[in-house]
Amino acid sequence: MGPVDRDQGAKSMAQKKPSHYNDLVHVIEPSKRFNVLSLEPYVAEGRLAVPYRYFPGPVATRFFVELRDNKRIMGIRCPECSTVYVPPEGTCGRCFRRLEEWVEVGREGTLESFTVPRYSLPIHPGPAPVAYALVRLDGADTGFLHLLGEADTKGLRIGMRVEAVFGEERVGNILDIRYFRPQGS
Amino acid sequence: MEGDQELLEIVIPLDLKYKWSAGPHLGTFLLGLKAGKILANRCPSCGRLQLPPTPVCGRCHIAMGQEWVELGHRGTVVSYSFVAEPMYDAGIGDMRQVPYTIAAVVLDGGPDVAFFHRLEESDPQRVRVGMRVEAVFKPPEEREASMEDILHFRTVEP
Repeated sequence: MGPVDRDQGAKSMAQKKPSHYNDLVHVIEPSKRFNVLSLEPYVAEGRLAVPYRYFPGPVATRFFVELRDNKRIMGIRCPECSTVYVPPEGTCGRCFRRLEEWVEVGREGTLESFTVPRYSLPIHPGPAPVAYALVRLDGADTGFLHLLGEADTKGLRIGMRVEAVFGEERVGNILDIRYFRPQGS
Repeated sequence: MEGDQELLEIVIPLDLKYKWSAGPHLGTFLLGLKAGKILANRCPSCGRLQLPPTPVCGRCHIAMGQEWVELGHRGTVVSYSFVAEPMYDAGIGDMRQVPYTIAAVVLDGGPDVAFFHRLEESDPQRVRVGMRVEAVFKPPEEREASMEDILHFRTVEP
């Protein structure tokens, strides 16, 4: 294709249309045409608000009710392999047996692992640094994810002893335990 | 489980804000809306307008070049949908207000492209293909360089 006469396209279109279109089409003068690629990139903001609520099932409900009403942490034991799940499950992940034997586990445990993001994001439960912790409570065979509080985030060690700190006001979810605090701190 | 089960509810309050790069063409269009202008760009080969503007002509598949056109705020309804079913809108974090009408409007000066937006008129008896409408912009201080800078299209006498 040879060079294209851009104005020819505009003129021919104007010829086909009623005359009042000429008053309405403001073709930007050649001297004012601009190269869009030289402009500052424009960053737009969006929002994705999708709150939801769900019923967690009878087993998780009992776990949360015990946290809320009695500040007790409950696990569930498999009759076949004796694994104690905390938080409790409905079915043993190894044996596929229905779980029914509830046991109370302690409020103290061991720090199995941790992660400390040092940048703030809206999805984090608080400003940086946030210490996520994998805690295995005394009497449990599984660890679960929670937060560390009142802790020196640069002095954390796998195997540290931690204890649960409950909130004064509890509603029946995992944050009824506000965080785990390193013992001896 | 024995006895009456309490129906506990876990609430996940997910409300995420994000940023996205609009690119030079869409960015220019959005900033044009903030300035109260409706901008389109024109293909250097076939002369066709793209609204909203794009980097490449949808028909010729060549780069659009630098020719921009400011379209009029008045236009003609060529198609519409009347929406009565309420729908959750994650962009506003709430249910959309119903009923509402969305329409394809051919703006004066842009005869081969349609602009999609809401109509002010929500009574289906009073909406006709071919009716004349005019864009109603929000006051300048309320505009945020988005499609919502245009509140809706109101019906005008032909």
